[in-house]
Amino acid sequence: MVKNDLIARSPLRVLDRSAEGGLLPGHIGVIMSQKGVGKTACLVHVAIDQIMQDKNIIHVSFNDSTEHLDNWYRDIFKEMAQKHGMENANEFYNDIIKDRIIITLTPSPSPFSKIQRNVSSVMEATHFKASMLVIEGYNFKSGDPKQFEEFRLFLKQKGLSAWFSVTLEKQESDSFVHEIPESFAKFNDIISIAVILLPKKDHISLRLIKDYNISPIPDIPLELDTRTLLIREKT
Amino acid sequence: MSKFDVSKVCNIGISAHIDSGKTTLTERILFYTGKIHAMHEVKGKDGVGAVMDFMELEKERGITITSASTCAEWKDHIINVIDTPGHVDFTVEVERSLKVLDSAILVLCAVGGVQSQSITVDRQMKRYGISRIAFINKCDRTGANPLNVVKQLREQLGLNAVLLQLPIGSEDEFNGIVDIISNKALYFDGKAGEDIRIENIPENMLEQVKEMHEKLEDALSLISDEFAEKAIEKQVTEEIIKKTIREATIKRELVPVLLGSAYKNKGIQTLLDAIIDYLPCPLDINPKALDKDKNEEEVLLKADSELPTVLNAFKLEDGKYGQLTYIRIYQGMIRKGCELTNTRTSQEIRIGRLVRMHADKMEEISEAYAGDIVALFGVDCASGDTFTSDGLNYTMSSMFVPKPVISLSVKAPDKKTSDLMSRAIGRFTKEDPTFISFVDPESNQTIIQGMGELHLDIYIERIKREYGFALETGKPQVAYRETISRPTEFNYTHKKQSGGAGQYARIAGIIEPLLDKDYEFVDEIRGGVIPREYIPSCDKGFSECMKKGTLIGFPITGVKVTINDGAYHAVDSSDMAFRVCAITAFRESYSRCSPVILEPIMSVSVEGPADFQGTMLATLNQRRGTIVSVTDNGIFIRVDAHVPLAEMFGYSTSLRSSTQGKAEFSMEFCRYERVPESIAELIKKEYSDKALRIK
Repeated sequence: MVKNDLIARSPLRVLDRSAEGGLLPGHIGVIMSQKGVGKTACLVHVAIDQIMQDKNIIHVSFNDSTEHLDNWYRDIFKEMAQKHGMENANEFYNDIIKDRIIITLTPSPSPFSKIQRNVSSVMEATHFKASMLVIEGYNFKSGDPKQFEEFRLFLKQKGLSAWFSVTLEKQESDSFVHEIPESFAKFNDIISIAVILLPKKDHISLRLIKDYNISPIPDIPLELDTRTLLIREKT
Repeated sequence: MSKFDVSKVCNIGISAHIDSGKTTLTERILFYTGKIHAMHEVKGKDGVGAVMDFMELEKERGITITSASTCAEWKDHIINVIDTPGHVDFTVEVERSLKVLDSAILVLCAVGGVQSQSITVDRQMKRYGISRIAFINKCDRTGANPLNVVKQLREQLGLNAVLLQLPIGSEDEFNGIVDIISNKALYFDGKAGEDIRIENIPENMLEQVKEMHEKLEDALSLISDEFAEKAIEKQVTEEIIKKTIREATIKRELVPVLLGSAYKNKGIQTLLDAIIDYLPCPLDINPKALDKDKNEEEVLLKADSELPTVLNAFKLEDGKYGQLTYIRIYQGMIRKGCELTNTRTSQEIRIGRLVRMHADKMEEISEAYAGDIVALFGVDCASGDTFTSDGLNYTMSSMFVPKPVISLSVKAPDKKTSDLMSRAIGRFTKEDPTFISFVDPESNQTIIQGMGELHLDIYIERIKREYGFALETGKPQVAYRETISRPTEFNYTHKKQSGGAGQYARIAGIIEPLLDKDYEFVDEIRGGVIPREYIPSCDKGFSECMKKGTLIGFPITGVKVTINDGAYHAVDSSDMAFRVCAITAFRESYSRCSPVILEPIMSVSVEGPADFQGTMLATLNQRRGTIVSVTDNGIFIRVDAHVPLAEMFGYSTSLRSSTQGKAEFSMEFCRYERVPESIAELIKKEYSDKALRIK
């Protein structure tokens, strides 16, 4: 069946090789890179992958409109469908978006309470059993690790895992060695999985830089094709 | 009036939340532009209603049902004011009027500020790339806070709103306006504020005005490098400021904000000045037409009266003078007696009487030019038709008209009113292509169809008001469709050879599901087993079956029929034989294709205060809705969901009562989707019951 195919063949299966087989409920993962490198594309991949496994996700964004985000999903899904020779891509897409809810928020002094309020509201009023959140545009620079702790409790209570996007400055990305950038260090304890995107000549390389408490960190041979926005295993 | 100068024309719409004073504002605009000689209160205190709202219905419901176009003149400019419907049930009408406008005035209440409906309106404006000016009205009211409203425009609608004025005195002491650009205070004297007195800024406001002026220059420097340079060189003049504001407004990088009180006659003349100073003229806009000869490829038009003519009829009115057709001339010019071609019907028409319209009065003219909006008499056409000269085969809008999603049976109480009903419905269907009517051959009932419950309700109300009787209505019926879910092979022989003229035809092939299209016929006959001449009849027979399925009596969609074998008889085969064969083959195979029922799904948008988020979500969930997205700007929430139309009846009332009237919704057709099993059973049962009753 096409759906199972797509799941089995998804390069993201490689991420499952990580310590716990992915991001567990109550845990937080981050995808970091400079602006415009491909964080949204990666997060959309992760989201679609979850949906293919019949899980529901909520995509939260502080800096994009619903229409814009929906276009990301459509484009990436279209590429995936084409690659795997799927025929009724449109029909299938309509089914997929039933398992996804997009929440767009304006920046606020207390972003977590806003996220929590909206996520709770949606999950309760509509019995939408989400299992993962994707959160984009949260401003880590003004973030407080303590608030994150409270947020983790909320996630655990709701049975949710959460992926965040983190925008790095150029220097932080350039001077990257093998671990979480200095400026981000204070969040180290809160994060369970961290992936960094590094722009190479004709692709984006995905590098796992934190995997729960595992050391040394397994190498994930994943790349993001800058043209098709598809994730593939290292060629 | 002096010779027509297209650079001095502004085609604007006025867009507003209910109760922001739109009607009063429009009337004041007409007063100051000299078209009416007295002003009347909207509520009709002195017994005469406001000129603009010539249909009582609009006043009561608070929404505008039809567009009216009014010509106003101000300082040698022509301002065509187009009234726009706000409700999304009238999508085609809204789209048509938004395409006709070049820009808009967004009216807000100084007390209420940005309301939940403003989000929908703003979305519409963005969709059509319309430049706007914001006008903060009712500055004389208790609680008026224009500065806060500007903040809301910036934060909640994400607009680069820049205040160009400041109020002198607040609430009931509001008595003048400071112009931040010229640094002068203006007072509106005279019984109707018609005399403007210019004074120096009051002492106690000097500081604030200076600050605002700097803010203005900063905002302009951010947008325009040229302005930034001038600012650094301290060479900024009033003229340069205005020029920069105009450019930025036309490019939609800026929304100038003005203020006043229409009711108290303050700030209208300054608003009119701003309209001609900052809003685009037709030359600043690049309207596109579609070339029918080149597969609807886009063509750019120019507001040049020397070029071939292209104009669009955007509104029809069947009133006391006959049929009035409102047109927007995009290119070229027209004069009495000239000939044009309707590119939809290929019919030629001759321009008869040409008039410039006020809401209820007319001015006869002999010619009109590109960029203008006028009206024609005695032209028979449909709303949306495009007329051209010199053989251009352009159309201003795609020929696509959305199919209705809901129908209702209607009956007049007696014979006399029955005639009136036909006349009324005939009138409405001509003005609005999304409102359809026909007589159901089976039940003999008159059916009306439209885009939503509200859409039909309004016409039923209008018949009551304008014709004086109430229609009896049946239960609203959702426009279901049938489709098949499994491919099936068929092989059918139609034979009638018992005495007299016989019939013989055999067709074999496959019926299979088809995505994204209603119907497709594929001919794979080889070796002439079915003669070429009979193939079209096969096609005809199959497509006839598509009109009404045998599952629940609704149109079938998504079917591909391939014929690959068959047989004929030299004498007894005929077109009819093959047609009948096709019909019977299809009907017989239909159930083997596992037919299913499809229902229209609507894209529903609900907006309201954040406190009601849970309620709004719940009301949608209860109606088999799937939530698509939630937008939270801190004060208002917008929930977008896909909900079956069948579940939307009575939603308006239900939403209003569960949110204290504070939430609103709009909806438009999204797509067709399979109906859940349990509901399919109910529908099938209803159909078989109905069939029994008719028998």
